[in-house]
Amino acid sequence: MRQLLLSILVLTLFTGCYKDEVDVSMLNTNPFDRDYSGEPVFVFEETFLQTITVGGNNLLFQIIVFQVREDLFLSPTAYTVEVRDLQNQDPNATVTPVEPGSNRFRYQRSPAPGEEVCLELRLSNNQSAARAEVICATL
Amino acid sequence: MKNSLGIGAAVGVGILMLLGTSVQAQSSGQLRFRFEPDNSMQFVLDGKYKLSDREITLEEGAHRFTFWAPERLMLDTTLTVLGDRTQEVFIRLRYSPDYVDHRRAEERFVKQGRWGRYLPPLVTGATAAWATVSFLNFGKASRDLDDLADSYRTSADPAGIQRLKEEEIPAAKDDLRSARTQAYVSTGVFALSAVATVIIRKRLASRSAPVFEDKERIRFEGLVHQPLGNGGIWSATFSLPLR
Repeated sequence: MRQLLLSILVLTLFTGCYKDEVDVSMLNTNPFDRDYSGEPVFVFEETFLQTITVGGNNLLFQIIVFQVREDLFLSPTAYTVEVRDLQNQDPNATVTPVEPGSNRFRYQRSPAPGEEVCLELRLSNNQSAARAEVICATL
Repeated sequence: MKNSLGIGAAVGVGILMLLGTSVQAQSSGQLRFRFEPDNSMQFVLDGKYKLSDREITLEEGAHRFTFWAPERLMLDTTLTVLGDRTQEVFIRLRYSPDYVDHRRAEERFVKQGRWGRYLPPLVTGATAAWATVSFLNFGKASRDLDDLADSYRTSADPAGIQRLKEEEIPAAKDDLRSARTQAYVSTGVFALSAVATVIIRKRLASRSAPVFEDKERIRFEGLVHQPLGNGGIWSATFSLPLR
């Protein structure tokens, strides 16, 4: 009888060891989550004009440089960044880092001196994008 | 020469009528009995003499016989003795209803004992196995949910995270709730069956086997005379149940 009660007690104690619930509404700390509610992932750094030679022609571009706060990632991972220029309504473009492995990215567009240019930025992987953030820059 | 004996009132009694073979005095005849049961049959002759002889010589005419054997129904009948004849009589006694009831009670007792000994532990073992499997499933469901929660932390796939939150985690939570309910239910059933097993075991240990009280014997062993070498004794029997 004692062994019986002991086994029942052990079984009941096991029950307490198991995690009860996972609250989905509390899962919002991953920057790749569309419901992410933490600090901004994208930080505007600078904007400037730069002359770039394309097909033998020198063209003037506005460069917007921003950073991705990788320190907010829950685990180290590779990623890409999607950009949508809110002024010219161009389709989404994928931008590359300033240097391979860097968290600094640059976006180039036609210059708009004195005009505020806003970009909608998203982290992206496997052809799906995370929450959108907007940064703005003025030459 | 054939003689017949009629025993109209005897239900379940077979009487075999065979030849008388020897010759006695003019005024007496002989009865030769065959009994079933053979060894324990006794009879009371003319309400006075308790005998167990297989052959008996009696005066010619009707004599009252009361046959009885342990566990059997008493047979009260009259046999007519024919002079100068030896008649063979076959007496078979039915089991008494009390004894039949007793045998049934005894069989029930044995059957209950057998079932009580083996069935409850089997049921308890089965419920214990069920409870164990349920808890293993519960643990697995819990681990699956933990794994999915970990996946949220390590995933960098926005669509995958969305699927995780909208489909996989809710499904895993449902599985966990179901597994937990089953674990609780199976533990309860296991506990109940275990307690029932203990109670049944105790009750089986404390019960007593049915005792047969042969009321026919008490009736038979009423006031009779038992002939001995020098005369005989009168005896009376009564029964005092000790339970």
